[in-house]
Amino acid sequence: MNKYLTIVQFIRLLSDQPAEKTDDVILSDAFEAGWIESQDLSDPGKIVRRIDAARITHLYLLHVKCMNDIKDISGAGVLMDLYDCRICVNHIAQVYLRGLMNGVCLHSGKNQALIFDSQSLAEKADLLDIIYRIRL
Amino acid sequence: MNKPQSITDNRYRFDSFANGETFPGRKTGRLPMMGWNSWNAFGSGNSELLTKAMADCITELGLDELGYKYLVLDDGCYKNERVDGLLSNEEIKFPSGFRALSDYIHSKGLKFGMYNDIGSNLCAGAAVGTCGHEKEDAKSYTEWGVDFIKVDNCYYLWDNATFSNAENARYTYAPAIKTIVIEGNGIKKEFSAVKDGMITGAGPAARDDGSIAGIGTFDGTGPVQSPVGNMSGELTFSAAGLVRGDYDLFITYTSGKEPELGQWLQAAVTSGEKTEYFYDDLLPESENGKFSVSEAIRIHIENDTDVIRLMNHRRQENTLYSYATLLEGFFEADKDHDIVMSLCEWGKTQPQNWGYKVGDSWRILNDITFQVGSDGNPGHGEWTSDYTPGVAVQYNKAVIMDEFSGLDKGWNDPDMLMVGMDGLDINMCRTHFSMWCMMNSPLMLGLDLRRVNKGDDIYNIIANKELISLNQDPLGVQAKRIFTTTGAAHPDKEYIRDNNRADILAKPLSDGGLAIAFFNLDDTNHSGMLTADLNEAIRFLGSKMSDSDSFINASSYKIKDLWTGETATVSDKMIEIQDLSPCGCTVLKITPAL
Repeated sequence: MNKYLTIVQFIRLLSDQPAEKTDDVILSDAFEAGWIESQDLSDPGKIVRRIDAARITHLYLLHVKCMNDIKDISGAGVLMDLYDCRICVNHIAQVYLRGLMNGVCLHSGKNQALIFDSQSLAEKADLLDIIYRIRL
Repeated sequence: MNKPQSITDNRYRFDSFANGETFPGRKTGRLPMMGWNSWNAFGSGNSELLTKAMADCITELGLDELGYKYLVLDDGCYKNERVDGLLSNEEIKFPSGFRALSDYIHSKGLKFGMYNDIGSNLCAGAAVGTCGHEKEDAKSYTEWGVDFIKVDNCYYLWDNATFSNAENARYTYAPAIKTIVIEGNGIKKEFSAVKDGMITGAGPAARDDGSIAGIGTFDGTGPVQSPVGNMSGELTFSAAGLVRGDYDLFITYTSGKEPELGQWLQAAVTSGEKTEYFYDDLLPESENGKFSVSEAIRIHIENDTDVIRLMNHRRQENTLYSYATLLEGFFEADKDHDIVMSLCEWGKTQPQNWGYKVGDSWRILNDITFQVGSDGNPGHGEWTSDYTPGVAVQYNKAVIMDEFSGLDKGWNDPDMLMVGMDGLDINMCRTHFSMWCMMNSPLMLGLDLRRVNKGDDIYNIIANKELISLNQDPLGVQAKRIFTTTGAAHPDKEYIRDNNRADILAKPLSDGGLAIAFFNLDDTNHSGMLTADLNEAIRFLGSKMSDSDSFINASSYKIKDLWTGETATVSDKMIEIQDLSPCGCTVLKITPAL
């Protein structure tokens, strides 16, 4: 069984699309609805990274589920790498504060830090977990 | 390119930063830009329809007549990849293309701005950064009639910028240096970095292993460090005891690929006014933190008063080089076309030192908000935070950067306005706008203008003609902080991040008057009297005023509150106000009564 999902696979599962709907239509509809971006359209077969999962999930909640953003994102400041990606900050903060994606504990000797680890590949199990938690 | 370009032109060098010279194509004498930018309003969700709607709103609301001329498309408008090597419009959101959109905006009497990056990709990921494509991109922008370009720093090849390789720090810091040996002309001298070296600037410090590290330029993206002072450190040695001639320089060092410990070394000798570079490259990589001795670097000593400089100013120099290359592209495309360049490298490379050479304004920090809006969502702004988001955070840095700005230079840019975002009440919005006006910051609106109606609270803030006239005053002098309730001895220079205080700023005006602003940084009432001493204002600003003698010798002054419109005439040189509301302000214009 594949350990990861592609962008379009994740989008399909997240938005609970019927099997007969083609990938092209799903992507086009999602783009028009504003919850995916042109990078997803141009490379739908790319393996989902954690930051892709955060972005797509956050925008799905905003534009499809009509859930307003959590205004105070200071709680996400525990993630040491939160501000490494300027345009990702709010995506990461929203999914973290909603308990949809966890931080990753980084150990270095006696020290440990919590990071989001944006660039790592997102495991399928974690992506399915996001979808499960949204549907709760 | 597998490493930064070799620099043979001293115009890009750190030593040239203070010479006041600009690159071809850079027009000085412009007041701060005013307009609207799509990022805070719509993020990556901007579109042709939304942009045209904003152009319509700007003219319908009469904002263009107040000075808001530049309509800027930020990130999110390009195809993800180049087409035949050229930039291309994202066809679903921008179906008519950029030329057509530019024509529409120009037909409204407005100016058209776009966005790009000196790296390989834009911050939102599209692989259309100008790096390596400066000439053809500048040509495209010129053909589209672009009047303004905001240029970001993501994916920059030679620094650990956002999305860039973290190991790029090896280009922006020198290795840690333990000793140097200079040999030649019958002389051999060994110097200990810690005992014999002199550190200049911020950053370099001794380590437990007896070496000096941190030789580079302090990263100014975050709010921790003051922008005032020399943020680019060197390790220098005196040539005392050396005779005129050529020498071999051997350096004992250890290299890394992380902040404060890099691999790129610049070795130069300054003799009087002249500096000659003898090494400007990577040193061989060290093995596992071990110290090794470099190959001989041939240097020349002219006098025993020479200074041997070991340094790395490449963080600044490389970034200047990249922006200058883009500006050169614009100049080559059409030397008569007026292009405003807004540098958006977030203060990382201390652009206040060199930005004027290529750009009209330079960002001073990371973003003022990371919670931008979208169609139907106003986005969220904060008054303050622990990092860079927040009006007060940006203000606290910009307010002591006045000496870096001016008509002959350009403007400090504490990021786009958040007026109209959730999270800021009307009082905060009023103070935010007042601060930006007093500090000669670019006034870039960042809200969905379809939400604004003439005469509503937001309109009354962004359309305050008298506040705008401070920002656009022809004298072009950023306000100076002349007092703060913390009791700081040097309120104009001290970097204060504790917002439990009130500040008084003074700004000289072309009509011989002064603007005096009182700002409460705290989210509780400031109770009690605040006094602006006009004598003190003159002491700080006299040399910048058009006629300080007439001002200070006036027997009385007309005062106008630029928010309430109230006027008064006083003969006292102490201007007092009682109480300031939470995050509130009072802005007064003071003119000598005839």
